[in-house]
Amino acid sequence: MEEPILKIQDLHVVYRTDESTVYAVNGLNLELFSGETLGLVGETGAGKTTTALSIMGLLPEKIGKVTEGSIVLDGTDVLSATDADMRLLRGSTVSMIFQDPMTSLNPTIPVGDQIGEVLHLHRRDISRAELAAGVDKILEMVGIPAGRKGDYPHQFSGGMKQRIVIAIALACEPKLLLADEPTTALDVTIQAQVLDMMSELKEKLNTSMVLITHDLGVVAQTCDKVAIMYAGEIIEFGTAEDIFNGEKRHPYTEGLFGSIPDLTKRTRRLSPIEGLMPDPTDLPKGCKFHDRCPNCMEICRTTVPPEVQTESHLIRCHLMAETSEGGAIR
Amino acid sequence: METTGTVTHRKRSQLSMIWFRFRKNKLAMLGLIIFLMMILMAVYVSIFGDYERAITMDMPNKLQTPSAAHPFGTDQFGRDILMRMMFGARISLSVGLLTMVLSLVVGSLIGAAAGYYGGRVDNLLMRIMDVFLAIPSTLLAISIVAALGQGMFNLLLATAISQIPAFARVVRSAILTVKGQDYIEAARACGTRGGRVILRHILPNAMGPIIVQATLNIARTILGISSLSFVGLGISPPTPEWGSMLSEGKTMMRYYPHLILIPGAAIALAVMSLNLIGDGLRDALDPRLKN
Amino acid sequence: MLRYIFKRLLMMIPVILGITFIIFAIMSFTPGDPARLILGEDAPPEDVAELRNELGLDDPFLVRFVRYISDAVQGDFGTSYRNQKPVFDEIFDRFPTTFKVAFFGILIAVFIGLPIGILSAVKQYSIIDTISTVGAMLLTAMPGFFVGMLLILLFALKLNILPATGISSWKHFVLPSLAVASVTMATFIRMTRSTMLEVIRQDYVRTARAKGASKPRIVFRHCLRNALLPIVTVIGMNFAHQLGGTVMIEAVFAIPGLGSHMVTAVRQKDTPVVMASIIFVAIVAGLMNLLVDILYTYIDPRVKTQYTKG
Repeated sequence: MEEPILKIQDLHVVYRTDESTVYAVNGLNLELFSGETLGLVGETGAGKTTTALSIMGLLPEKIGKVTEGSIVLDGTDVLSATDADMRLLRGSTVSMIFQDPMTSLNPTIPVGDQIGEVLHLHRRDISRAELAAGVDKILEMVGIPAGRKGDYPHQFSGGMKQRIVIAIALACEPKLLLADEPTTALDVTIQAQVLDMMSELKEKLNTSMVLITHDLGVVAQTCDKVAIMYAGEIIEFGTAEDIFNGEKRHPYTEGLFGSIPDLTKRTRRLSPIEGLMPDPTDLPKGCKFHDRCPNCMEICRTTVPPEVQTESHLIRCHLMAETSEGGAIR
Repeated sequence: METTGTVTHRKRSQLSMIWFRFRKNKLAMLGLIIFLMMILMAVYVSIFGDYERAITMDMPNKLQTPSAAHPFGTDQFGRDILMRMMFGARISLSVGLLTMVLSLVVGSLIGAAAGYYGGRVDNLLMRIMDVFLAIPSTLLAISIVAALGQGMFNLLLATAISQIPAFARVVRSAILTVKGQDYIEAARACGTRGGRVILRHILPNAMGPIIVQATLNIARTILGISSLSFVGLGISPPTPEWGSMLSEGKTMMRYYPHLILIPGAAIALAVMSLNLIGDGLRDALDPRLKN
Repeated sequence: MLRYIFKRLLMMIPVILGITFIIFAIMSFTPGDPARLILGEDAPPEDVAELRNELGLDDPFLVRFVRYISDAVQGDFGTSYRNQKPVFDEIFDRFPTTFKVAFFGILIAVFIGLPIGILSAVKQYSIIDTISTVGAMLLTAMPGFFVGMLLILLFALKLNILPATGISSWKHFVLPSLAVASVTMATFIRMTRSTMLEVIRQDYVRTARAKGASKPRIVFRHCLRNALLPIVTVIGMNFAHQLGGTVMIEAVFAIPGLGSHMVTAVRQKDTPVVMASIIFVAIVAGLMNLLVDILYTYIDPRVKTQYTKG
């Protein structure tokens, strides 16, 4: 049995300010194997970015805290690692790219140097010539002419900037790539290009990826596995097949799919999910989705729903527990 | 595993929220306390102080060390330093306030006109302001004093004029920021008329930066007044202005340092307290800037 | 690049004209008859009238203004009412002293203030940060001349290691420059601190951390250059402001610079001297700002590419 490249167990993360405590992640479990792409789906505020930052050890210093759980990345226990240890991992074993390419690059440093920096940081004995060659190579891979490596970020378009960001992230051929809504800020046409490119590179370098997004279309295009997050928990997990074509779905997931306009159907109105995500400083008891759930039952209000597993498909819902037959109950 | 929230927020009005945040800022509160104490001093001395005594020489009593009768001692002309300092507070604060109000009113009108009307009006007005800003403020004030002569009123005028461009700029940018916001368009889209838009939407939101600027402006004015008085171009002896007290004390400071330490400390405290209040207001109005 | 400099110089001209106009207009409010001042109170009215005619004092405002400008451009800023000598000579003689004090003051302020500001930002809320912030607040609250007096008290009078007045040696410049430095240093510390804090929050710093860069590397390689941009502008502005502020410093340290010359002239109602001094300083201040702008284009790649590629 192969060891997962990423294993998160019972993760709890809070943000503590003077005024309140935000419970951002509440008992998250996740496993990712080499070469897999996991889509982490959820609305804004579900805790997706927080999870990614926790893996990188980049939670805001005084405010963000992991209160429980463990994260094991390629054999290293992230939570007990020192910052120096983590710095060795960041950029080489695990990379992260962020949402807004316009501001992710340093405006005063040429892009070639910014890419070269990752190589320089993690390959101490690399020669100048090798470094330059490495930069050229990765630029070609993301589709940017190597001759432009002396240019500054403001001389590139948004789509190209994001490619540079990806180049930086993949320069050291990391085992895991965390992509936080990498295409949300881009035009739809550019979006498609960038996603294709990412898939290609992923294949070539055999990188695992966690793709954070709120766009189910993107998930369908690129992901092997899907995890749906709500209020800091994973409420549904499975292969893309399970989520998109499965028989049963978590009521929230149903709601997500129902909110998407469909060109093939004639509808009068979309059916959005009623209500808003709960206040993360004041989370409801029982199932966190219960006050917006059309199938809400008495038990949902008081007891945390169990995880109901059918083969590869996992749903955290009382409804599923009732109607499933012999699924593993935790 | 249950999780519960920890804090319930009471609904607060915006003003009390600002005050709440200001109160939490210890330095700002310190500034406020010091400033209030200065105001109290000025008020006290206006009622109970003897101005004539503060400016009349009393040579037999000169250069006394602090005692019960003279808590801060006497200066080289025998005058009680504490009383002079307190009268100085009255002068500095009142001139500072008046100057601020004058430059605020004129500056705001200019800045508001520039911000609201935009286009050529804006361009012209701002060009003029830029020219004024290009002249170091001390020199501008000196030129006005040179032309009109010395005295408190001319000093007030000179300082006010040198501060107008700064106000105009702040007001203009505050109005431009607010004007560009979507909710102004929304208000207009609902049919709200120009004047009402200014009054109900633009002004209240522009108030914040203007008040911060006003506070800092008084501080700058106090520094400016004392500087000019120090070189003899502002308020002159025997009027107990802090700057002129410093210039008077300079000759004897080697053996009687308190002659300069007290007025100097007074200026520093006044200015610092105002700066702290101004900074505190700025943080309280936009807490996002802090964290 | 040269085109940019030339363009900016051109743009300065209306500003200089504007400054001259404003000062000229203000000074025209001076009561009293210059001709009388020159000839003396008991001079016969016909002589006064003749002098007025000669000097063109009865001409309309704009005519006089244009005449002033055309004379000034040729180097003639008028003659002093007091001693009938050309105004410009004295100004030109005294200016270097004033400039030196202001310049060294700013230099000291930059070399001490900037590092402290950076340290404060990087170690936010630490002891260093608190001390430097409070210290900076205290310094900005004290007038420069007061700091000057304190410095004299301590170093000249009590410790007797530096001279208090005059300008005969390099030692004489130490305390005055320190006094100038104290005021601006505080501003630099606060400004550097807040700029650095802003820069540290930027997304590209987050990217750098995600690359595995260490804190010192992030500060020096990524943050500094970006923070320098607004700081350079502030340095320029402050220098210009200090050129005016040395008036007080010169009074404290009895320095025969342009500032003290100006103050004497004001007291003596010597209008041409006052006017020329202020205009001169204002022009130099404007040139300093221009220099800073040019420096800025070299530092900021965004602006640099705009002007070097075209």
